[in-house]
Amino acid sequence: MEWNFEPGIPIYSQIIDELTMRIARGEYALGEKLPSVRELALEAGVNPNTVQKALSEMERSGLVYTERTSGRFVSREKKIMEKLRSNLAEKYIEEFLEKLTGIGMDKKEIKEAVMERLKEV
Amino acid sequence: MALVETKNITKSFGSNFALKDINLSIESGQIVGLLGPNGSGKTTLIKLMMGLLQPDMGSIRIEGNEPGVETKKISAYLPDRIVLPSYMTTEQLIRMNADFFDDFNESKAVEMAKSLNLDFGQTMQKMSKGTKEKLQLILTMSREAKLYLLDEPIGGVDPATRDYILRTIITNYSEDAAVIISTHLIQDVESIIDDVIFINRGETVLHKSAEEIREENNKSVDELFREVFKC
Amino acid sequence: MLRKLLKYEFASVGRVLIPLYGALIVLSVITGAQLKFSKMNEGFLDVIFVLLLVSGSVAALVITAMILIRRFSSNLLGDEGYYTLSIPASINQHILSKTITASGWALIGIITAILIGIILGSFAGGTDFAPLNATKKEKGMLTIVILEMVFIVLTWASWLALKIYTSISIGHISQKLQGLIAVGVFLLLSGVESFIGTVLIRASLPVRNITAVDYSFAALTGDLFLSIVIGLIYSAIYFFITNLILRKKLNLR
Repeated sequence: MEWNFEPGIPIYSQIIDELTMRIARGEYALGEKLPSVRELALEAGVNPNTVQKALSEMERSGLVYTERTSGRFVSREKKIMEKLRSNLAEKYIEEFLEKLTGIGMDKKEIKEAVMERLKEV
Repeated sequence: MALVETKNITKSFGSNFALKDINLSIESGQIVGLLGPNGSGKTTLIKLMMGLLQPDMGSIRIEGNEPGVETKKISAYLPDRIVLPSYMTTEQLIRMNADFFDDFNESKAVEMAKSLNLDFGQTMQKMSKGTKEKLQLILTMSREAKLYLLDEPIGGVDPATRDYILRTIITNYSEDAAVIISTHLIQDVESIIDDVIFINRGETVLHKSAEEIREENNKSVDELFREVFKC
Repeated sequence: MLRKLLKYEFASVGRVLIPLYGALIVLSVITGAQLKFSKMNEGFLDVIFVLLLVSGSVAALVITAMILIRRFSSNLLGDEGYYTLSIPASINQHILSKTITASGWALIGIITAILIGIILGSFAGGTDFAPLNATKKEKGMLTIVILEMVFIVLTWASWLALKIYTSISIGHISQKLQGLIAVGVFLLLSGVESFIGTVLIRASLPVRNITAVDYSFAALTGDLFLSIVIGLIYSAIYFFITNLILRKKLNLR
């Protein structure tokens, strides 16, 4: 029933990762209301306190905000979304580069392979 | 004031100590995992909290009261065995619980029974073991209690039922209540518990938040448990 | 809360005893009719019905005792105890509800027995109830005696029930041979009661000469009254002991 959690990592940070991804992918749009703590807890199969902690963290980083009577919403600021995307992009690029240099490709080869692939898009 | 406080609880049966000097403090709004191998004293501790046993030494306070009539009003207990009269039907049992417990939510019980496809007119003795366990669970979780004591609620049930149990605990969650789940199957409850109490041979070995354990040890609580209690 | 406990106690016992006693009453009607209207060659049928009635009555007695004992040993100290004792009721209320139920059903059992006797008797042709022709004063005295009888039955049934509960409770304290210990304790307590009884009789109790067949109304009432008081005292003692053990030494397996 639940999300799959990595064993050695605090669950709340894994929840933050998952929710952040959903926002980045647009599953939760800018300014959209998030499901309640209880709904998320049920979906993830975790303790509501853990969800609460994750959401509080996300609030601190500005990704979501609370409207006292209505609940939690995704931030409306385009700047925050852009920053999120660029952070994620950076992270993915790092991983990507690490893997390719790990199999012995140099900068030139990497660049060529990427350009080749992008032509097909 | 914590919801549940135990101070220097010691209990022995004959010459062996079931519990030695247990000091615990449990706040409301928490889901606590009481984890330990079989025979470690988990059930004894729960029975003490329910007033089904008297400690040799020490005290237990639930909302400031010793286990007794007042604490039973706000405690919902799910024992690790079938305890309901076998000649009663589902409907009769729901009504009896509504009678004895002021905080029993009858409509919730009916709803849960329906969602589990229980036959309202069937007597306990005609039910399969799994169905009996589900019924006992429903009756316990239909209480709007301050303290839920679940003794091995997941051992031996099928995965769908297990999921149902965990979902019910999450749905039921309230900041005013605490849930103590005693089990030796940590994997199943890992993701829903706030605090972890490891107990072995009558003594508390560890009392920390689950997240802290994961962070400090880079392991799941289950993995740590297996290490700590390696046979 | 006590009322709720009583409701479920009575219902749980009645579930078995009502059909049982009902069947017995029906059986007694049939037996009575059979005996009265039987033909010459139906002698064996007479015997069968009478045997059925007698063995049925004995069985009813045994079943009644077993059920009432189980209400304590099983519902309170067996697996069901985990549920029963999670109810927000005091130990006093639990013991009281079971005692009242036991004595109530004992009374019902005795009334049923009397009823069966009356049924058989009226079939045998004795429908001129002497009591109906008694004087008003005599009726009044009879009523008082009947009331005292009811009280005696209730008191003595409570006494017996509580003595059994005490025995079971003491047996419960041990890890093994609980049943055996309970029986032993019961016999011991009964022995102690006899001993106390003889001691009291010897010590100058203001009772008139026992051998005198002096059953004036006042004496009879006095005796009955004394019986009730003794029953109440013993009941209180056993109640106290049972309560103490259940509060301090409870240990459900």
